[in-house]
Amino acid sequence: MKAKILILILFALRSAFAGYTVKDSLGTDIILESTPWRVVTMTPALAEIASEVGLQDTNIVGVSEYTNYPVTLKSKPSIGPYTKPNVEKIVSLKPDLILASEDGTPRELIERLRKLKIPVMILRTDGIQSTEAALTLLSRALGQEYQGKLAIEKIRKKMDPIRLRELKREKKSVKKISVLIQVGEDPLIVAGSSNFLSEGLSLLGVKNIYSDLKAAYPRVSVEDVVTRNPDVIILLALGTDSTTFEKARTRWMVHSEMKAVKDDKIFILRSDALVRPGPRFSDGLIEMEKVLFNIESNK
Amino acid sequence: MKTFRRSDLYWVVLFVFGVGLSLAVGATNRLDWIWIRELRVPRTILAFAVGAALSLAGAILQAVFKNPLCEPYTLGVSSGATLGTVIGATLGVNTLFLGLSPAALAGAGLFSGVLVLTARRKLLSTSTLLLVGVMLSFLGSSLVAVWMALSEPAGVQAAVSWLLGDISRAEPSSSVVSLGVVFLFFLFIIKNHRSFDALLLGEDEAKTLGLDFSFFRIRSIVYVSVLVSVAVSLAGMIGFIGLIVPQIIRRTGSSLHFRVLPLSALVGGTFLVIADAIARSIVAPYELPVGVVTAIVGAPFFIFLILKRGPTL
Repeated sequence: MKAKILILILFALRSAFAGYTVKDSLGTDIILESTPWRVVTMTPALAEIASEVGLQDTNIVGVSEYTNYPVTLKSKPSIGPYTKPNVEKIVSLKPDLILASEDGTPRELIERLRKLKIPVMILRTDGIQSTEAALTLLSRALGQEYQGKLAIEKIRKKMDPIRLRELKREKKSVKKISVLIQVGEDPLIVAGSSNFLSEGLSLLGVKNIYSDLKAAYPRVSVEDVVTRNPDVIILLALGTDSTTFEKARTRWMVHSEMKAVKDDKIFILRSDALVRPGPRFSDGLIEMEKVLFNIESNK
Repeated sequence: MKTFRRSDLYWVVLFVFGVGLSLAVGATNRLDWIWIRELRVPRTILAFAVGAALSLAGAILQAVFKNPLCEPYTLGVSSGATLGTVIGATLGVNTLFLGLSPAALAGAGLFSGVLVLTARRKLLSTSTLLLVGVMLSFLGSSLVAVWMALSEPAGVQAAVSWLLGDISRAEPSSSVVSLGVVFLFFLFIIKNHRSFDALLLGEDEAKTLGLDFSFFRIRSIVYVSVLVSVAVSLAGMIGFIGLIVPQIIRRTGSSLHFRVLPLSALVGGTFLVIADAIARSIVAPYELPVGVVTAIVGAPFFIFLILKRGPTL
């Protein structure tokens, strides 16, 4: 009996020293020595996910540029833009866990940091489903499974009414609206098929006029947009002040034969929630729904 | 006139200063030695290897084409290597072998091959050759632009920083290997220092000295292709160093290649080490493309030298 207890204690000690293993979105095993308490987030969305699963602000020691939610993270040391984070800056913050984005963080950098023996968790955040999965994975890594479940619950509570309203619209067989989502001006960049915005549009039951393009964010010509003639144009992510948004709007206004221009259906949405695939995306969707829904009621 | 002067020692001092600076500055002041060893040392080594390779390539091209405007960038050899790397990356065959990507070497080899073929047609003068090089350079960068237009914006952002020169991807093993490769080729090249001197005297002089002119020219171009491929596959397109460093060396002492080649390598390497130290520390946590820094620092200095001494080769 004594021996058994001793063995149990030894096992407990061993696991305490050896740490534990968690999986990331790619199924890679991440070995953590202990519960992470110095975390660096490589995209704004990942910072939101981290604080959503209960990671305290004090435990987030570095964030990528433009991280502004929760507001307290604004003052955290910046590791640079998410497309080109600064390795020296990252290691100087002595993180024991780095959260990288599957499609945003340069893969070379991840390899590099892993070679330097810093655990890097790659999380996929390209839609509502993957965000939920990321919340689960990260909550496991941080030992905050309950918080993770709550966060997912919170998202679902917002998503369900959206889905319900869409079902109602479908029943009434309202004509599908076609939408252009512009995310870059000069050059003109739009939302293609494989991204979270397109997923959002289909949840709302509207058609992305560029759903046929495989690229996530293709560069297209004005001429092509005019030919596809969307019912609505939504301008997103064109900068922190309104100048580029207004420039883009004015540019479309010239093409008075377009339906969106004729019906005055060019909308500027400046919410961060729509720009980053994170836990707040559902809030952004509600905002987009409002804009699109008003179109419906106007008709 | 002695080959080396006492003033050449200043270059060695500059080298020591550059390496010290590069290890001391970066995105943060508080960096443990272990991270300096893992991050800044490889970066310094790679910057030195790339700078040395580019300015050696520039020195050789200037001798071969007898034109002070020649360098890998203006002659399109860099464009060729870049195009090769880009195509290689798309096809997924971009494994590095001895610090250079075979695709980059193929691209550089192809473009410099065209240069050599053009040179073998006797009717062409060296300045016409230079013109062909400039055209090749345009062709290469235009084809790269086509590739960029077709790829994802996210990928383009990474590509743009690489096109303007990027040493941030330095790793311990690959940087040492690349320095080794550059040093090896430096040995091949310095062995031929008298032949380069002869080239500058002109084709007839070279012949009387018993030099197989066209064969040596081809061999030189092969050296250039390898050096440029190493530089481009590890650090992207960095212009300017190959142009100004050999010029500066020629202007500050003897033009014999026994002096010009080693000093070009030393100063070119040092120049890029310093430029990279500036690029990664001055606007941290952002990084400036290192090619931008080399141009901003180098161009005024070069103009100053020309105004002071007049053009020479």
